[in-house]
Amino acid sequence: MAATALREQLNGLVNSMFAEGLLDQQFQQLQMLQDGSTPGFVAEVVTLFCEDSERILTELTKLMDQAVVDYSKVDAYVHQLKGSSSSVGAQNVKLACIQFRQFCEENNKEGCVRALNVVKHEYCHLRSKFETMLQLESRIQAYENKQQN
Amino acid sequence: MHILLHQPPVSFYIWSFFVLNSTIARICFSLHCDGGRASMGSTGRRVLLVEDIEINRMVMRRLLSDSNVGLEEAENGKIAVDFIKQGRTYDLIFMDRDMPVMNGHEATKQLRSLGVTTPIIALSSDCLPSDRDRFIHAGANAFQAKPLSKIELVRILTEYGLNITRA
Repeated sequence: MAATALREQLNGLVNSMFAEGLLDQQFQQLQMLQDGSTPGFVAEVVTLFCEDSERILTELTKLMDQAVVDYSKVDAYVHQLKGSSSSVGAQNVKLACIQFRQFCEENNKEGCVRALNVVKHEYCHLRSKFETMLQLESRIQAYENKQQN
Repeated sequence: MHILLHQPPVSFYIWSFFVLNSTIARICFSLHCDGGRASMGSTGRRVLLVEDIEINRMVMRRLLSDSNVGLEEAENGKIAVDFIKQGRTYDLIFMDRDMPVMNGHEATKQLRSLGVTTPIIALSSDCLPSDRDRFIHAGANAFQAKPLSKIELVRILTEYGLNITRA
C-alpha cells in the first residue's frame, strides 16, 4: 500500500536524522505527545521552530554586520534559538548555539561570525529534512483520509 | 468541565467566573490580554507558566493537557507579577530564567516579597550551580533543567500535590 511505503520512508528519514545527530531524544518526546487528539502537534511545533529560527537568524545577521557589535543583544538572540532548538530536539543547532554563546562571552567577533555561519548551516540542513518530513506526513494523512472516505 | 479561553490581541477583561465549593476554595479568574492565556482544568488546580518562548509554552501546554490542571501563561516576569497583583492565585508556578522586561530571578523575588507562598519551580536550559543558587536565593523552591520531560513533569506535579491525571 502506498501509505505503508510512505510511512516506511518517513520512519527511515526520521531515523537517519537521529543517527546524524540532527535530532535528539527531545524530538522523541514531541512525537510521544502527538496522538489522536493532537495529530498535527509535531508539524505545528516544527513549523513554529522554523519561523522563529529564520527570524532570529535574520536579526543575528544584521547585528553581526554592525561595525560595533552589541554582544549582549547577540547573546540574547542566540539564547532564544538555543532554547527553542532544545525544546524541538534540534541537537546540532543547539550545540552550534552553545559554541556561539561562548564566542559572545569573549566578545570575539571573528568567532561569532564563524559560529553564526555554523548555526545557519546546521539550521538549513535540518530545515530541509523537516520539510521532507512534513511533506511525507501530509501525503500519508491525505492517503489515510481518502481511505476513510 | 474544561474551559479553554483564547485571548484577542486587544487589552480588555473578558469575564470573571466564580465557583463556591465547600471543599475547594473559591476559584476565580479574570483575563488580561497582555500576553496571557488560560485553560481551566476540572480539578480547579492551577499552574502558571512564565516563559517567553512560544515553542516552549506550546510544548508545556501539551505536556500539561493530560494533567487535569488549569494552565495560565505569562510571557515574562512582569506579567506574572501583575497577575498576582490582580488577585490571581496558583497552586504551582513554573518560572523561566531569561525573559525580556523582567527575568525569572527578579520575578521570583517580587512574588515572594508580595507574600506569595506558591511553590515556584525555576526552569533554565543552563544548569550552572550559580544559576541554581541564585534562583533558590531569590525564593524558588526547586530548579529544573529545560526542556522538561513528561516523567519529570509528573514527578513535580506529584511532589506538589497536583498529579491528578485524566482517566
